[in-house]
Amino acid sequence: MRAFMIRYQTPVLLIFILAVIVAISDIGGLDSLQVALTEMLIRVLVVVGLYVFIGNSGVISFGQTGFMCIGAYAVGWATAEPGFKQVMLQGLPDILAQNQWPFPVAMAGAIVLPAIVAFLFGLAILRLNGIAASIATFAFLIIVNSVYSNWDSVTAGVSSLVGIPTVVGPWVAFGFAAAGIIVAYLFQVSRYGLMLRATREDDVAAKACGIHSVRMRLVAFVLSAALVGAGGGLYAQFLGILTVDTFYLSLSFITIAMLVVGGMGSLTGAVSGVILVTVIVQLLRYGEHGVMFGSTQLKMPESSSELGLGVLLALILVFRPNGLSGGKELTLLGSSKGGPRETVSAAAGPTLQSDSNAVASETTS
Amino acid sequence: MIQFVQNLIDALALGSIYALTALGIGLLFGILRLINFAHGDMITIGAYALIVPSADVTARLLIGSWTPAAVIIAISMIVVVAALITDAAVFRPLRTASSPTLMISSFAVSYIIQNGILIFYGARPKAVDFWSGANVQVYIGELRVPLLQLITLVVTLVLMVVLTLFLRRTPYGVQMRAAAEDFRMAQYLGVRANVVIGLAFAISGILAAAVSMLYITQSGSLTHQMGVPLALFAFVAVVVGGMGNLTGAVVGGFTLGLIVTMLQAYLPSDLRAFRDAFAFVVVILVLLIRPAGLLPARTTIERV
Amino acid sequence: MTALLDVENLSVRYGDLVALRGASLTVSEGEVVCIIGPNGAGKSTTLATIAGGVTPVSGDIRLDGRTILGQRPEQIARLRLSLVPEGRHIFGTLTVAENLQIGGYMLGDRAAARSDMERLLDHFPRLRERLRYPAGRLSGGEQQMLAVARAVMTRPRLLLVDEPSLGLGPKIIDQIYEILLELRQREKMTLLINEQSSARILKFADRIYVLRSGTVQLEGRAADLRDGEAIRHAYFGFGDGERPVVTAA
Repeated sequence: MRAFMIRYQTPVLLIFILAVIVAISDIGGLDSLQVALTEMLIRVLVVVGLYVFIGNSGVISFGQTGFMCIGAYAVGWATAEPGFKQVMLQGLPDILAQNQWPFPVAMAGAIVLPAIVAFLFGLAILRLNGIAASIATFAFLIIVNSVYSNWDSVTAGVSSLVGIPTVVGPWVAFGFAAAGIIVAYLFQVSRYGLMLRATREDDVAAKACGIHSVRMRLVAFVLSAALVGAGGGLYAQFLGILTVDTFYLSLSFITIAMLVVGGMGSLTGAVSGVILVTVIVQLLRYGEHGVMFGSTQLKMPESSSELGLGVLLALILVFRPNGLSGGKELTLLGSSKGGPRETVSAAAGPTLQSDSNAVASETTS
Repeated sequence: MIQFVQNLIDALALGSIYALTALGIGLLFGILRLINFAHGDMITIGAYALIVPSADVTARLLIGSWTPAAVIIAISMIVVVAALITDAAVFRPLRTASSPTLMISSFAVSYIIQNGILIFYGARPKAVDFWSGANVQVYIGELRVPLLQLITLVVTLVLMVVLTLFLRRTPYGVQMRAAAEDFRMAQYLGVRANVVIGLAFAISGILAAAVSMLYITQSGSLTHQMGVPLALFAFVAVVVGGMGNLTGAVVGGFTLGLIVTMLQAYLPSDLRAFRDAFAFVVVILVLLIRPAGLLPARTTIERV
Repeated sequence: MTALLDVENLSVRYGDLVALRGASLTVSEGEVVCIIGPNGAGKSTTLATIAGGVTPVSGDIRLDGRTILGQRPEQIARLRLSLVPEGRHIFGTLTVAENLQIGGYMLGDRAAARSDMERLLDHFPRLRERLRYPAGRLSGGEQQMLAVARAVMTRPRLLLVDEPSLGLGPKIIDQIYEILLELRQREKMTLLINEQSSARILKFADRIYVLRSGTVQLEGRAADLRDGEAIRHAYFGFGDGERPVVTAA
């Protein structure tokens, strides 16, 4: 029993902390807080999904937001009011246009559809070396945005898709976030997670041990897309309306920033990054709305919360590149072996140029 | 047949601006292994530097109204300074960091610049009339040749040749390549490595300034994210053309221009809106066949 | 007479790892001094710190009596102290000629650099044959020669060489040491060399330091230490003569 608790303490602790936060705000009863809280918990799910791929493989993907878009619209197609769909989305097949599917079915779509797309796309690009793969994921984001923006008959193009029942509140979001944390943790302590992290550290050596890096990356990529897609699905049923541009550069930046600030190398980093950045951005937003100092109002210019986030990210990268968590997992009882080690590093030590990627990985992995 | 040649000309025209942008990105990548997402924003800075700084909806040319030579020098200097600041503030402390770290840091710099411009200049696009006299078509027989793009093409090729010679033949070029390959070792040999890298950033700034002046002439509109699509296409061009060498970047730019133009010309009309999506799909196909790009960099040593 | 190089009580840390604790050594002009010690003893750290690549937590390093602590590597190179680091670190994507030229740029005198290079290539005929090759294609031994030649191009008074024999076959090692000897005699260079252990170095050096676990265990003239007993003791931390000293054959 004790061994079990030591091994799984990290996800339990993280879920516990989130539960406490939700419970406190529930009791406190502030409505505005509920909204921000739900959004934060959905982001926890998304960033945890991001972490499953980026943290374990070391490959930066700028395109996961695209999967969020796919998941969100899948839910939109399933659950929006038929009246709206039949008028605005005439390209939808009848099975979707005429019905309003319940939550579980919609969420299943939000998980499965992105996963399928991720599988196909991943097959194509994950054999590229790290940087080329990252750029390909960027291209993916653009492709998704372009397709969804222009496929008017199915997505309402640049106007909004409305009429989605807003059934997602803090506790629902919490439930999914908790599930996501568990799934991510199980992955990282499994054989697959371990093998993938081996490729992250030293791809050549890993291959020499018989690890099939592309396959491992593909597993993580698909899992990541499923989690992120689920986040998108929740998001749709939280906002009630969808626009394609929500899932583009800005959201990509914010989610990646959250992961890096918290620490790219650990699950704790993913979760703590979301919490920390949410708090900081909220504070900055209050500053934008104006803060009363005695009798004068201090007001920061609009968009300064975004600027502040960018500056924060830059500072973290320079001074604490492994993020808040330093690549370690949250533990109370002894050491948990579930934590992957740092991926992002500014080198120290006596060696000369220490970036092992430095010379020539223009070849395939 | 004529139509095909015309399409080819259009492709070169489109590709020329991608190629010039890709040159700047390819330089920093080849030297520093840095994918500089902020390069597009350097272009934006160059363009915004032409006008009177204000949040007004209508833009008035300030530097943009000086003589051409003065404009070129002033804008180049401004962008160079901006590039050097990003190096000193963010990239220098990360000199020995890993590639993913560098990538994300340039992403952050890009975000900071875009939002900075947003705060300062406002969100609304501003119309700008800059050198619009150059934005004309020249007719050679039945073929329509856009003058501005022709200029861009020439500028790109000239800069490519000059830069390649610089890197291969001059002492600064050799030191730059050495510092790029092994920063610390170059220092041990007395190379003022930070100066040399700063020089690389300065050169990339000049390239970005060139793009901004040529681009604003044809687009006529300033927005805080105007550099993003250019930079994006340029990254993809660098990857397709072959990362790590300047010629590859330029070839990639023209290739991408070709792909986009051909798609524009030959896609059925109801699919044309998805042109960009198709272009990127083609890119991915190219990468599947030649993952190192069309012109991979000369053999480099993989440290096992 | 002040020593050319004076390292006093140097301590270096990498995070929690203590690499050097209070190591001291001196090198006088014209000497060949050798640091030997097992892996992890701190030999590379010592040389890297002297050359300016690593910042110590305490201690001092003086060149000609003046402290060079805190200076950047490129500044220290201009004081004519050069490092040939462990693992060679040649610029694989540059040609052999370019690798050599890099060292010469610091001097600012192109004609002088060119004549230096000519003279050096006489010491290293193998390199002359391969001037236009990308340096990454050279064999290990050739790379080591290139690394030494390249450092010499900066006209150092004091040359630090970190494990020149690492990963090389015995014949090549002989050649390299011959070259080092020539450099010492003809170019009047002072040498500070790291080696893991070698009977050869005992014949080559004037003085020896044995470094283990970050501190100097033993210091003495090579002539006095030739029987190896004291060295074995210092090197392994015990010495009852039963363990054979590992020498490069």
